[in-house]
Amino acid sequence: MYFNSIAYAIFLPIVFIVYWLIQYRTVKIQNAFILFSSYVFYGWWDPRFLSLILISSVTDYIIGIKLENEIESPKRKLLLLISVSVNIGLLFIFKYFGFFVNSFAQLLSRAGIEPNIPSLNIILPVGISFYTFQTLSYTIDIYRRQIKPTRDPLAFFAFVAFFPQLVAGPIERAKHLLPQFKCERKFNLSHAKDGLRQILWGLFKKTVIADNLSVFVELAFEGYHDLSGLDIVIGSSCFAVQIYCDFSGYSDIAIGSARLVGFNLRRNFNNPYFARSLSEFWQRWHISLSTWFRDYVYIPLGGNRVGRLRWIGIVLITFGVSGLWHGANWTFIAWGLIHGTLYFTFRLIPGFYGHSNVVAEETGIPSLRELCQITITFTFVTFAWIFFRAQTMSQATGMLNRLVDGRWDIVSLPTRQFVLSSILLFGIEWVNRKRAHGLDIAYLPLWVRWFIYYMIIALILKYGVSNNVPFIYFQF
Amino acid sequence: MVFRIMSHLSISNSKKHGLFNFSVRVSVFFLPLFVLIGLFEFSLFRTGESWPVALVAFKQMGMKEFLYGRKYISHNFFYYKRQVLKNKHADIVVLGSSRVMQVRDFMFNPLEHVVYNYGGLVRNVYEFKSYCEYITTGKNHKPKVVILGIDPWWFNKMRSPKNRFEKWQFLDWLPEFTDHLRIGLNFIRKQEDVPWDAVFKGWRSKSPYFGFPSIGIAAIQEGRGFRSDGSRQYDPKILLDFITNPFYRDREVPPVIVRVKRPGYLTGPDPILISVLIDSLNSLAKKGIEVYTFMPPFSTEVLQELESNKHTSNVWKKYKKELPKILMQNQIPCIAAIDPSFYEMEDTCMFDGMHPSEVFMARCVLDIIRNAQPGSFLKKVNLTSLEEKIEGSANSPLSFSMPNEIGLKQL
Repeated sequence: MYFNSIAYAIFLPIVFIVYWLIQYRTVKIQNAFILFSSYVFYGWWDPRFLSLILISSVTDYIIGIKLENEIESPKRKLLLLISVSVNIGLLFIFKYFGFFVNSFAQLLSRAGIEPNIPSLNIILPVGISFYTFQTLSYTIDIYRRQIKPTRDPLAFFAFVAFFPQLVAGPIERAKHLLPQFKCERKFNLSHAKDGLRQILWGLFKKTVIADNLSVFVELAFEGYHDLSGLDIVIGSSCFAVQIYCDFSGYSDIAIGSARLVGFNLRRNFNNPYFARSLSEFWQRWHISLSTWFRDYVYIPLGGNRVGRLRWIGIVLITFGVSGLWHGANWTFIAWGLIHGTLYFTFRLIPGFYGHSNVVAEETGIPSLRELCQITITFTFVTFAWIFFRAQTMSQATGMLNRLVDGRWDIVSLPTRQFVLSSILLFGIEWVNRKRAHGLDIAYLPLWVRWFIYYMIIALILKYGVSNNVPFIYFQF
Repeated sequence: MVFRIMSHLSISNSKKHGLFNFSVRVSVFFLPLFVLIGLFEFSLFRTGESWPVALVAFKQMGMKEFLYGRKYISHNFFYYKRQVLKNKHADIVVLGSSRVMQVRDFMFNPLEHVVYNYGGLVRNVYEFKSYCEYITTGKNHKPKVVILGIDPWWFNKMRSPKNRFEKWQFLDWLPEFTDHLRIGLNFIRKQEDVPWDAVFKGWRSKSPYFGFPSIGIAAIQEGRGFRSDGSRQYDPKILLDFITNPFYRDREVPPVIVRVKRPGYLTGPDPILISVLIDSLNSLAKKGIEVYTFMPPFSTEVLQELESNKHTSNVWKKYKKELPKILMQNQIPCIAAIDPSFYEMEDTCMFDGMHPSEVFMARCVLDIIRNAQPGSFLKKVNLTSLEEKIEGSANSPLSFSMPNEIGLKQL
């Protein structure tokens, strides 16, 4: 079920009430209930999808224990290989098989051979990329002896299927989330209140900003032939805001929902569009995925402890694979490679690397230099989004051609909504940029907080798109 | 004051009663919203707009003239008629799509109290088959007479037949639930006019023009909906429009001709579906139920399109010529009233390209009764009163009763 659906609006309060009613029982019962609720949540799309999550969970639970008991290195490697094969195999069959087969067939047909290759007509199970990566990290961490395997199947299965973050992350690490399933969870009022705030903020970003902007994005990307260069800029900027609100909105609802049942999920977005460099952007955008690729791809390949040329190769591979993770399409690979190229290029320019602190932390107003850095970073990120959103490479290059050849004195896309949403969104996020999320306003007086909540609810009711527009990242 | 209490709860929370305090805070926070929702729901309920269809069916069965017309919420039409089917013991039933909805109870005087029009309950052969199974297995009351209006698209080749009889009963109310949300949001977003007049008057208030006691906002405000005999009361403004412009035009489903021109409108007749229909009709006959069929008419414009369009012409010709023959061969009477001229009428007796008026249907009913076998239950009908009504309708081919003077002034 979608977070922005009536079904979830009914599901979450029921889960919340039942879950806390059984808090005085054992943790096992709570975990069993979490597991049951998560399977209901996931099975709502299609109960058949549950079989995949079960395969992934059972495999990694058993392999985790066997890895712990095994001392011999070759056998340990074999066990790891089995886990990687099962998880990546599932991902390959359901997500990439068609892509590779079609690409191969196209290659052959260019060589004058018309192959008759069968295709699998299967639908992509929701969230498969997320939970396979989560379970994979569990076995890899055990293999590296960074964590101990759990022998509590209920806790492990609940960890894999935990409904708030099951279908679109944050991709949690076992060392962070799994212990939470093992300890006693007590209701914490301030966490619960903050969870509700974060859910509200996520819903606002998703239904009011992202879903409304999606109309203009559709216009820009589908009808780019007839648009001016300025329209392409506006359309791709709209997409930059849309995808941020869509995905960070989802993450906010996920983190908020988890907080309601006493869990802390990792932060997934940290004001990425206030980043002053591309490396900072990647420390702030989809943090759980970028750190996953850092820990399980980038560092094992050599990280930054190698020569410059090899390092560039590693960066390109990491970003290329990250692009492919997003979808089985050349546009995603191109998006990843563009980011990779920009990443190492930026890193070579003084002033475009580092920045671990909050922008304008002391002054509150960014300096001219910071403003330029933020603008340049946003421009490059938005440029890359064109490839991410385009259906085909020719569509992406067609849009870029419009940027070069198109007129720059006409605007056909309506801009008022984009400008207003951006001012509202970035204004609020700027004010709260040092805090956990945009609506982290516990420091304000009660009446001010309630006034803000009512205003946001009114905006959702008035302008929110209510026809269950799916989250963009569900397709990944 | 509220904020002070809330602040106090906030301070005392962290000790023991966090969950209780949280529940209180959330409840207080959402209280204004719940009050608004409560008022909204009360308003809908007061008009009858949000009544469950079972309650509507129950009310209508208890009173001869009760008009059920929703404006914002879907009529949940199938379940409404199915509720009646479960509870009403009608001896003369009319079945078919919306095209048979103008068969009225008074046409069967003095048997009007045992007549019900289930128009819209079955929309394909498989649904009719399910209906027959419900009757023959004793799940529902066994009528004495079944009059079935057959549409040409019933014989379109189907990959996966949709049969609403097989749907889970529990889901009956679900579509309405989402309607409530949609309506509420529409009032907020599109600033639709809240129907205060209907809320103020409430259900049971008299509908405009014809003065039926009403259930639902469309019935209260506009006087349209479904009567107690299951027939449909068209929007009286359509009739008023006819008074001022007595010419034919698509007044209800415009433009029917566009639908007909679409490829795939007629793709049959599938012999399997024809045999399912015949078997179902025979199963009723075997149970001693009199069965009559007819083919409701189309306007001249639509007929010409059906006959000339390359997608439909062959199918249409087969339907028109072969279906009555097949039915007659199986001793099932069939009136192929596919054209208003069949009863020497003009297109003015049609609400649109495919929906005939009650005046046309009265002639069809008269025909059925006249040709009914000796000893038929239908022979108890007083034909003279029906003939007199038909004779008196020369100038009003759309309806036997036109909107009254008050209605005209209101317009």
